[in-house]
Amino acid sequence: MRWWPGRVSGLAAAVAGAVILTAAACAAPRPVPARTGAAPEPPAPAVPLTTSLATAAGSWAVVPVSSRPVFWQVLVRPGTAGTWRLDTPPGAASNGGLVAAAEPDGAGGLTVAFRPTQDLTFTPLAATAPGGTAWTAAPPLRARITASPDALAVSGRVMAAVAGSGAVEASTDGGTTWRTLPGPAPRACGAVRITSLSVTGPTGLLAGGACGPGGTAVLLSGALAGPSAGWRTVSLPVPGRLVRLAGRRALVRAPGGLVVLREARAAGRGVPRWSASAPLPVTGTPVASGWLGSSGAWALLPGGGAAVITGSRAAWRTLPRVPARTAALASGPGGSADALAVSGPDVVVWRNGPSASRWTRVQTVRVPVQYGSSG
Amino acid sequence: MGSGPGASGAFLAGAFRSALLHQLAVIAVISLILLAAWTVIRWRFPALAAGGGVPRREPSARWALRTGFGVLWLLDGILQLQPAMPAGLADQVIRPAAASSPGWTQSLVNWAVTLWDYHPVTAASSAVWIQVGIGLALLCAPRGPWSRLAALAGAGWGLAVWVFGEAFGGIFAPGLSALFGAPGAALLYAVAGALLALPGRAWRRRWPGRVLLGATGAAFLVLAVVQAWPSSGFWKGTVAGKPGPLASMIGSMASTPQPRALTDLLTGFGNLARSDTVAVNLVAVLVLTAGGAALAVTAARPAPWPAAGEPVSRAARAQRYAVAALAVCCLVIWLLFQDLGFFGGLGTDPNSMVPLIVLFGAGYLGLAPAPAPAPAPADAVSSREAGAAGQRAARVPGYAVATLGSLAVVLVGAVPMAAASAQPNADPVVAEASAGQVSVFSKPAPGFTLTSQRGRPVALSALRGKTVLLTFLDPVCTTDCPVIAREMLLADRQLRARARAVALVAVVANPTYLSTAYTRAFTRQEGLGAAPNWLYLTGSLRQLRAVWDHYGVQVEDSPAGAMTSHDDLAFVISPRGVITAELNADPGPGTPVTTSSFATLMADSVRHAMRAG
Repeated sequence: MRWWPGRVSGLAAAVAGAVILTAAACAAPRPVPARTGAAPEPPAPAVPLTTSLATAAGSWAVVPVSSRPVFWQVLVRPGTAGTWRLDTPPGAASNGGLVAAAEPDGAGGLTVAFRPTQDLTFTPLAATAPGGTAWTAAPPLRARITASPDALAVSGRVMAAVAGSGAVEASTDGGTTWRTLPGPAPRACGAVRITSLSVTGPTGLLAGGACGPGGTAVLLSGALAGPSAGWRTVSLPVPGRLVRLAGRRALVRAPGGLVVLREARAAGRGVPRWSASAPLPVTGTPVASGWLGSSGAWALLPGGGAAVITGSRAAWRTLPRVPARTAALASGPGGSADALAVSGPDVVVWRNGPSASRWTRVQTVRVPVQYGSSG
Repeated sequence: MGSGPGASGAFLAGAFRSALLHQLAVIAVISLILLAAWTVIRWRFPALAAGGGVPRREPSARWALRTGFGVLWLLDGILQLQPAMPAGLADQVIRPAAASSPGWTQSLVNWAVTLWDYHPVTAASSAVWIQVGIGLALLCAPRGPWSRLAALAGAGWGLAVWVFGEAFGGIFAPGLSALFGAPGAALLYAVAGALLALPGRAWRRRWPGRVLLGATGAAFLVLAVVQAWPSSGFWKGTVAGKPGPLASMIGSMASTPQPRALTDLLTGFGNLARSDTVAVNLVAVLVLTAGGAALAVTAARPAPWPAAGEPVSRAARAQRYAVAALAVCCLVIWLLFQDLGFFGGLGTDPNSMVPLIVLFGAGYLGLAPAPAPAPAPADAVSSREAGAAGQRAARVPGYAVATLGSLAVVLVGAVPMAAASAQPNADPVVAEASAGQVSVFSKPAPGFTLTSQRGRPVALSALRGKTVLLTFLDPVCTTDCPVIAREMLLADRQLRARARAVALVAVVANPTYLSTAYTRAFTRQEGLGAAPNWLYLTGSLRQLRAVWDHYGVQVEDSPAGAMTSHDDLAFVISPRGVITAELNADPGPGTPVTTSSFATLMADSVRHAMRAG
C-alpha cells in the first residue's frame, strides 16, 4: 500500500489547494461589536408614570396613549378653561415615558423629562414658559432618569433627579452642570433605594424611597450644596410604603390604608413635623395617583374606584366609579374632578362636579398616534 | 428553504450577477491562455505534450464515483447561481440549520454566517466557482495527480460545507433523521473526495468498494436505529396538538415554492404521515435496516463477479437486485421526504439520497475485477521509437489542461473569498443594497459658520484642505443618529493615517434640542470626544434652517411624542470644497453588518474625494 512515493508534487499541489480552500472556508471577519451605547429597555415602573398635577398655568396630565408602541402624552387644561388640549413637548421621543415636575409652590409651568430608550443614554428635558404656551429645551440630565413619576424635582434654577442607577443628580444652575450626590448610608431598616425627590428650598432636598427588603417608606432630607448631602431621616407619623412624593407631601400606603403625609413647621422653632391624613381603606397599590392643587391628592384604585383629598385637614372623598379605561384624574374647573380615559388614539375627558353623583363626558382629545418615527 | 429576498435582495442579486459576469470573463481569459499554451505545446514541443506510456482504463467504481460526484458538484454550483443566494443563504438556510445544534456548533457556523453576511456577493459567487470548478475538474480528469488533486479539493470543500454550512449535518442536534438528510450531504461529498484522492492502484483492488459498501451499510443501520428510537418522536403523529416531526417536516417541504404537482404529492404524503405515522415510520425503518443489512452483507461476503458471457450466480443476482432495490427506495425517500432538495430558491444541493446512491453504487461496482490495461495502439510504439511528433499530438493529455483550467476556476472562487475573509469590514454592497448607491457629482459645498460642541465657531471654509464627511444628526434621536455617528467613527478608523486629513462633521437636525449642551451630551454618549476630527455643529434655529435648506435636508417636528423627523443624508466634500458624493445614510436595521458596511461605503467615498482632490 505504499502509494505515496513519486507523488510528492501532486501532494504539494493538493496541500496548497487545501490550504487555500480551508482559508477561504474557515476565516471570517471579526464582527463589529454590538452597539455599545445600547441598553435594555427600562423596566416597567413600580409606580405608574401616569399622573397629573396642577400649577398656576393650569392642570397637567401625563398619560400613555396607544399600545404599540406606547407614546406618552402631556395634556393641559390652561387656567380656568374647561377643555383640555394635547401639549406634548416636541422634538424628542416620548415612548420611554415622561416624568413631569412642577415648582413646589405651583408657580410657573412644567418641566418634563423624557425617559431615554434604545440608543439614547441621557435624558432630554423640556420646560414650559410660565404661561405654559410653549416648550423650550432645558439642558439634559447626563444620565437615564429612573422610572418613577417623582424622579424629577425642580425649583427655580435648582433641579434634582434620580438616575436609573439610583444615584441622585443635582444641579443648581438650571441643568447646565450636574453633580452626583453621595448616596444615603444604610439605615436600621436596611439599604435605602431612592425613587422620589422634591426640592424644599434653595439648598434643601427631600428624598423618598424604600428601605430594606420590606421596602419601608423612608424620607430623607439633605442638602444640595456642600461636600455631602448629609441625608437625615425624617420621622414619619405612620409606617408604610411610599407611593408618591411632591413638595412637602407624600402619599403612603400605610397599614390602615392610603394616607397623605404633609410637612408643617412648628410655630416658632422651625422644626419640621409630619402629620398624616385619615386613611383611605384600600387593598393593593393605587393604579395611578397624582396631585390636586398644592395640598390635595387623588388615587385611582383597583376595580375602578377613585378618591380625592383636597384640603390639608380634609378627609378622603370617594368618587363615583370612574369611566372605563380611565388613566388619570386631574383638577377640573370649579372644583370638579376630571377623569381622562384613553381609548385608542382618543383621550376622553369625563367630569364630576363637586357634588355630582356621576361622570359626564365633556370632551374628546384626538392624539395623532405615532407608529415609530425616523430620525 | 426560504423565499427570495426583498428590494435589498434584488440589489444584491444584481451585484451578484455582475460579479459572476466579471469572474466569467476572468475564467474566459484563463481558458484562452491555457488553450493557447496547450496548442503551442502540442505543435512546438510535441515531446512535452505526449502522454507517457499506455493509459490504464479507469476502474468502473472510480469512474462512477468521479463522474457521479463531478455531476453533483456541477449541479450544486449551478444551484448556487440562484439570485436569492447572496441575501438569503446565510440567514435563511445556514443559521436556521444550526439553530438546534449545541452552542459550540453554532459558534462555528456563525463564523461562516458572518463571512457570508459581511461579503454576500463575494461569498455567493465564490461558492459558485469553487463548486463548478471542482465538478469540472472531477469530470475532466480521469486519473493521475490532477484527478486526485480535484478530488482532494472536493473533499476539503465538502468538509468545509459540512462543518460551516450544514452544522455537521445536524448530527449534534436532536431529531436526527436519514430521511431528512442526516448525516449531511456535504459529508458524503467529502467522503467521495477522500476516496477519489486515493492512488489509482488502490482502485485496482476490491477493498475500496467493500469499504464503501460496508460504511454506507453501517450508516444505514445506525440511522435506522436512530429513526426507530422511541424518544426521537418519529412514531408520533402529533406532539402537543401539533404535527409530529415527520408530518411537520414534510409539511414544511410542501410549503416550499415548487411545481404544483410536487406540492400536491407532498401535501398528500404529509397527511398520510400525520394519520398513519407509525406505518410510515415503520416502513422507513425497515427500508433503512434492510438496505443497511444488504450492503453490509454484500461488503462482507461479495458474490463472485460474473465474467462477460458467463451466467450470473444466484448470490450475485441477489446482491445486484438488493443494491438496485435500495437505490429505488432512496429515490422514493428523496422524492417524498427530501422534496428533491433543490427547490425554493435557496436549495444548494439535492440532499443526501442521491450522493448515497452514487456512493454505494460505486461501492458495488468496486467489487468487479479491475480492468486489464488497454492495449497499446500499434502506432504508439513505432511512433515512440520513431519520434514522430505529428502522430504524438493525438495522445496529448488534453484532460490535464482542462483539469488545470477547472482548478483555475476553483481559484477564481477561492482567492476572492480568502481575501474577503481577511477583510474585517463588511462590503459596501450591503449598505448600497439597503440605502441605494452613492450619488456622485461635483458642486460647490454651501458654506456655513456654526458653533462646535466646545462652543467655538467653525466655518466650513476653514476646513478647506481637508475632506469633510458631513451629515445631519438629531442629538436626542434614539435610533438612526447614534448609529450613523458610529458609522462615521468606524469609517474614520478605516481611513487610518488618512483620517488626519478628514473632518467628521455633523450638523444638528432638531429645531428644539439644539444647544451645545445637547451636542456635548451626544458626543459623550457616542464616545466621539476622543476623535480629534469630530465636530458637532449647532447654531440658532435660523442658522440651522439655512444650512438644512442649502443641503436639501428636511427637518420637521412630529406631533405627539415622536422624534423629530429628518433626512438621513451624508455628503462628502473634497479638500477644495466641492461636494463629490451624496449618500443615503439611513442605517437600516443598524446591525453590526450594516454598520460596518456603511462605514466602508463612507470611507470609500472619502478616499475617492481625496483622490479627486
